[in-house]
Amino acid sequence: MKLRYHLLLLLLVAGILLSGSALARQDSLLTAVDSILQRIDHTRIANYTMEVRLDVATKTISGQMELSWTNAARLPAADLRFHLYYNAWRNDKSAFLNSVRYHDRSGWNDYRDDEWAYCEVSSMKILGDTLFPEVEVSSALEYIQPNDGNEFDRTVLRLPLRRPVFPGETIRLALTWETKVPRTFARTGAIGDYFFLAQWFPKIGVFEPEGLWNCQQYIQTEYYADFGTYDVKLTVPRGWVVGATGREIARSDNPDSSTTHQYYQERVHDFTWVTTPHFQEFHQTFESPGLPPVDMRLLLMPDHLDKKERYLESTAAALKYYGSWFGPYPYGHVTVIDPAYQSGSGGMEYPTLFTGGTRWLSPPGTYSPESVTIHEAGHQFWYGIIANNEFDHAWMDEGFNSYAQQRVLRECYPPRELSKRYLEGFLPYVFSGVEILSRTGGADPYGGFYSDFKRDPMAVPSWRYGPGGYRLNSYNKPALMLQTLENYLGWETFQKVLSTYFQRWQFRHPRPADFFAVVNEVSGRDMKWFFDQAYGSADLFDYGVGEVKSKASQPLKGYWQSNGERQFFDGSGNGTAETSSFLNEAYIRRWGEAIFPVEVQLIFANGDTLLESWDGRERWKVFRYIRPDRLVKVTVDPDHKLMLDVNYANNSWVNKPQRNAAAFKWASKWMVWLQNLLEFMAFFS
Amino acid sequence: MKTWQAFREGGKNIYARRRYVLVIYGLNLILALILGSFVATDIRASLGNSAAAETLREGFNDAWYRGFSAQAQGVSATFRPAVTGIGAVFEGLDALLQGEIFNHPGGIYWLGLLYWGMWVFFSAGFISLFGSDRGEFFRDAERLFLRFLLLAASAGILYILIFTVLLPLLNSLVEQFTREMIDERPVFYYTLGKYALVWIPVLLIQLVLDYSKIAAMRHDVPLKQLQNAPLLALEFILRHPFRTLGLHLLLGTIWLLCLGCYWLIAPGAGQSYWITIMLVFLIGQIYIISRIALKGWFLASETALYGKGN
Repeated sequence: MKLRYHLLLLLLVAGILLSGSALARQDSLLTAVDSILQRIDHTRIANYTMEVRLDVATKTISGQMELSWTNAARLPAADLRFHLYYNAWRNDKSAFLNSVRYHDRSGWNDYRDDEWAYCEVSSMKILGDTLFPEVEVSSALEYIQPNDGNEFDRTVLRLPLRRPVFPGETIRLALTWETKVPRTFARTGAIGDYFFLAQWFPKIGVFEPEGLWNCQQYIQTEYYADFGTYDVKLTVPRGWVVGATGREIARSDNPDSSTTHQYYQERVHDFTWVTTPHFQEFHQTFESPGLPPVDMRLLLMPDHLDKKERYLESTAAALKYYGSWFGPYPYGHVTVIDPAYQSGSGGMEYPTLFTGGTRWLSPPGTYSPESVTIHEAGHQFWYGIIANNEFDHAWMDEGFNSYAQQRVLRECYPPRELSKRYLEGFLPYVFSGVEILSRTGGADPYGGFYSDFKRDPMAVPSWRYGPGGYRLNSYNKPALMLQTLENYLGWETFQKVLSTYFQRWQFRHPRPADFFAVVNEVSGRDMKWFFDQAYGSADLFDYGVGEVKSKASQPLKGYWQSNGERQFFDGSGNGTAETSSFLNEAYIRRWGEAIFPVEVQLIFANGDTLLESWDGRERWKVFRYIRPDRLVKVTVDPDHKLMLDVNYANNSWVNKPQRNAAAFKWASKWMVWLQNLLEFMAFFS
Repeated sequence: MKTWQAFREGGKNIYARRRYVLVIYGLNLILALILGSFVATDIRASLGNSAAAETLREGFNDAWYRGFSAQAQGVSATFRPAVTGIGAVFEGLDALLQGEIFNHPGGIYWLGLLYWGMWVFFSAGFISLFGSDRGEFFRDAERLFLRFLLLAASAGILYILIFTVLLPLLNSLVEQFTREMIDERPVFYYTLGKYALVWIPVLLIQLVLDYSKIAAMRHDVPLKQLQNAPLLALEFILRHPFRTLGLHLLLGTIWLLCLGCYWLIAPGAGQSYWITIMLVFLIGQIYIISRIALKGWFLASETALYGKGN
């Protein structure tokens, strides 16, 4: 197959030289390349065979790897680029430790000297075959900094090639490397005898169809890689439990009191593993009509054994609803990791494996582990299967997933109530009756909007988001955007949009425009106006009720036609029947810059209800009615379709507001708090 | 006098002087009302004519709250839904345990200091009432106030040292001990141990402070010899360790029982009508009165114990 591609390419080049016009040459070349690329299996671009050994005493991993990589782009690759993520903690000048998100290094400053990390490739060679001669290339390796030019950053390694890898060609490399594991930070590393190893090996970047490497420095975002097959042998101390991407296909004890676990998985774009002697293992099969069964493997820490059912139930809920809404989970197995206390490895997704997170004391009302479990299980779909570029478009998995997670929570659990943790977070308490927002996805979406609105538009590459912008634009705003879109198009249509998008782009790397195109195609509407605002700008949506007036209509005054004749009325009411009606006016305002069509509900004292539509374009619109009753309530967007509205409290007006009772109720509660506080202060008297 | 007798006599005495409990409660309420009116005004203004008021009246409106909290200033910035029900106690108790009870915005901080000073004054009145047959609450409180203030301030220095030196030191030690622990339970126990190490001296200082005040009153210790008061108190405590500690423990248990009762009956956020809102407020006030009465009970019982036992 490879030889055939190669010959075809040579023929192409010859053809180009012999052909007529340059344009014709280019077209024929691209057509031929495309025909080659169409035959490439996009689920087998980057394939890894690894043998690694964990030394728990020195917290190092030594590994050997054979990588086969296929150029799936339309242009030749003149070099290869690798992520060495652990070099983010190699020194204090790295791009990661100086990024907007981590520049204050809270948490990292307490790290000890032996808790820094590195990832170093000690040797690399190209394995010989019909296309490439076998050659040692270690000396050609160089660190590059494509994003910020920071010479101290070593998170991207480049191998210049003497001979490019042409479209459709596959190159094979053998390399050895050593990784020093940090104390857990950014959800990877070791604490005590718990090792959670993510982004731990040299990983090749993505050569985009345009012929450019997407192998960004490790700055503040998550990850991006091509699909492939992973066949990994992990050697750890005997008796330690291992969880990893894929299924364990072999296990053998070694003479040196270690055990080698072999894991294998196809069609994934990362490989993560965890090991500790403390895990307890549980299995349950997920079954739901119309969906393939999934073996759920749960690795629980001893202090969370009572959370077993809650972990498994919430994982099953995600598999069921995501599977029926978007498309079935294709792998047949998933590993749920209950992260160790203080490990900082909770709440993260990896192919066929994810970490939940809970506390020793965590009653059901806290939704811990349910909420995070559903979220991370959901990432198996939005990240694992639909593998967008998280460097540039983190919202495409985090936002989608936050939106879908909230849908599942609404399906399966009662409304969320406020919960707080006391005594340094050990003791939880759930405030019955204090419902908090859960409809909108992500944590604290409204809070995020108020404090961080007017940050970057979502369209800015994620790694460039400013302070506070990453969370807002990756989680909260896109979740609200998608919920708004669902409300606008209707669930039936939007579900078709999402399932079509899921089917079309599974095991590939969609970009924002790909999603927008599916929305337009499936809904049959051009939603560019919406995406231009919600995605392309930082404009705020905010509609509200302005002034509302209801006043008794004045009797007619002036010349009026009456019985076909001009007649003068003096405003005294004689001869008119206007005395019992009211002139009602409701001014609806657009406070924000962004535009969205809204409905306006007007309720009169006799119960009559009108529902008006407004395209929302002007700054204001007045609705006037002369009716026998006064207006008693006006609501803009009564169904709260526009979830992006940053202030829903101003969307309504009532003529008899309950503000006195509401203010007294909550101020009186606050007073009791203050009175208690004063007594506690007086304790020291 | 035995512990139980002192406890009973203290109870009788505080009941007999309940009007002073009500005076202190009245002051507590007035102070809270003053600041509470600002919060109520801000909430009311924030709601305007919005229908959000209706849901806020019936339960809670998180969408409104997010906007309110993002824009609230002054004491209103301390408003949060966790003040409802038993949360009103937990929020303060949590801050107290961690030595952060005075870490509040300016208005509340100064009010707290004022209230603390008022209680120094009232404790002088109470101890004088309970400790002498001819005591007169306000006159004696005025007479003893400066001495009691000095004693409380001296104890305050020790409290500050505990919370600014000992607690951070223990925090650091516990953090080091537990740094590699991946099971939450032992870390929790370490944390409990840490607070025990902090609060045992705090409670002992409080015990000495209480008896110092009683000794200062009983022996009419002059201002210049005020250092003798803690010595007299210590001597008394060391002579009667079980009685003094037992009494403290007994009254502490009563406080825990009060707290438990309030926890059981403290309503959440579900009141919709004025009558139920008022009823809930009333329940909160009864709890506050019980706390003030209990504090008086402490002083009355200790005075009784000291008076007869010395």
